[in-house]
Amino acid sequence: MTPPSPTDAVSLIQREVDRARLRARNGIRYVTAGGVARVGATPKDLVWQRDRATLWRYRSDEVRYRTPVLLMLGLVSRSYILDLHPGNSLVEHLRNGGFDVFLLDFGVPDEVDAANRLVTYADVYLRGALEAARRETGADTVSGLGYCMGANFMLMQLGARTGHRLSSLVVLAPPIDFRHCAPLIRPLAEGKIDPEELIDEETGLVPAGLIRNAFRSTKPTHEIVQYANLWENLWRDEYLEGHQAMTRWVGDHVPFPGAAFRQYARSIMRDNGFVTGHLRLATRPVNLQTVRIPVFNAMAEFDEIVPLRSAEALAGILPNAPYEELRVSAGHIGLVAGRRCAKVTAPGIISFLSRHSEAA
Amino acid sequence: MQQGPITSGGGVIPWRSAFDLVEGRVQGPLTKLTTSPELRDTVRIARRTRRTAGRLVDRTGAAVLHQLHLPAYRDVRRISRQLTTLEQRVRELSHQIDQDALPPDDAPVAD
Repeated sequence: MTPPSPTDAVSLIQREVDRARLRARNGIRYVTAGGVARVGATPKDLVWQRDRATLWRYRSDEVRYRTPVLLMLGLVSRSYILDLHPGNSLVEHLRNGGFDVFLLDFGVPDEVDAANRLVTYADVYLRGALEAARRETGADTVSGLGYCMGANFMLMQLGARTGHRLSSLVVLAPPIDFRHCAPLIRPLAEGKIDPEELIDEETGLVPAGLIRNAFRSTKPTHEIVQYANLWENLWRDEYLEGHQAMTRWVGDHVPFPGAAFRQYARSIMRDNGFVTGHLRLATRPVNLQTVRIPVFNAMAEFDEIVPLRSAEALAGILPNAPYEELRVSAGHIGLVAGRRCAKVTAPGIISFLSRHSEAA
Repeated sequence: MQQGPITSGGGVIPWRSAFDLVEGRVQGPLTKLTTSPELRDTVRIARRTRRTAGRLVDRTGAAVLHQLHLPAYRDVRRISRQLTTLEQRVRELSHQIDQDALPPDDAPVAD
């Protein structure tokens, strides 16, 4: 390696001094703000509510499609992850793409919610929210977008209700085939852990701390790597807030309602209900052979929560649906946030939805 | 998580290369440990033990408080659980009303 010239060395030192100053300033800001990031900042209005479930509509003056898009996710994360941070938000990408965006948020469950079953989320709340979105927009149908477990709920609605109001479906990292599940949940899928053991007997919920630690165990060095990344980039203002948002997501889980957890662990994980075709939503069979609406499956190639092989099994269980898929070179989080989402996932979804939505 | 050589403003940062080297070596064995069945079983036993110990303390404490004609935590919990059950039943009924108000399932199918 050739040593830098004196001029280069001076500019290098000058740069490092400038960065050290900025690091000190941002470091103080980071410590005093307690790591509080602006998440879920896109302006929105509450349009429907049932129990703890809420439906939000994002404000937009540039809606170009009449068919609204309803976003939902599962029961372990907070809904702001789909609207993570200004400039790094799936909701923002869709809104900028001309869509009327709704988000169904299940909130943070308490003991009353512990008795909620899968039907409560995949049918009662989802149907109510779909009707509310239709009512708000005057549209006949709605496009659905489900991330992770949210994709399971959307598919259950499609397979169990012939009169569903969905005209197209986008699924992101759908956990389908649990023979190929992540090591994190393998003991549950193989029946080696009884779901009962994970449910707190006082509250009837799977504690958020337990879920957080389970995720942490898949990448034990993740936190320290994040701190290294933070130190390296602390001089950049825009990085600091993005880092706070991402860190908040990774550590911010909600308790899982016990009754729904029991059903999910037994029918979907252990009995592999989507693949075997034996899944039921309360009394209704979930028959995915009847699904004829267009489906777009975006999967992450390096997904540590929903492995690619689990997600790609969707193609085989939707024999009658026009099916498209997108493989993104990202992990579970990178699929819906960050650069890969902005450059690959979001444009893919927008292209699919624009072909299957009614123009305004 | 960042992958590959880490650069900042064009130059490779020496401390970062060293960090990545160590992290790369440590991550595999550590993940193996944290996801091992042995650790899982240990955690499970610890949780069960804590639960059993908690019940024992709770029972002993309740017996003492009952001797003094005072309600124990478990009595408060029992009442709270009954209220929760009641709220759950009300919720179920309201869900049934909601479902009846929605269009029937044999309405024209979106296709």
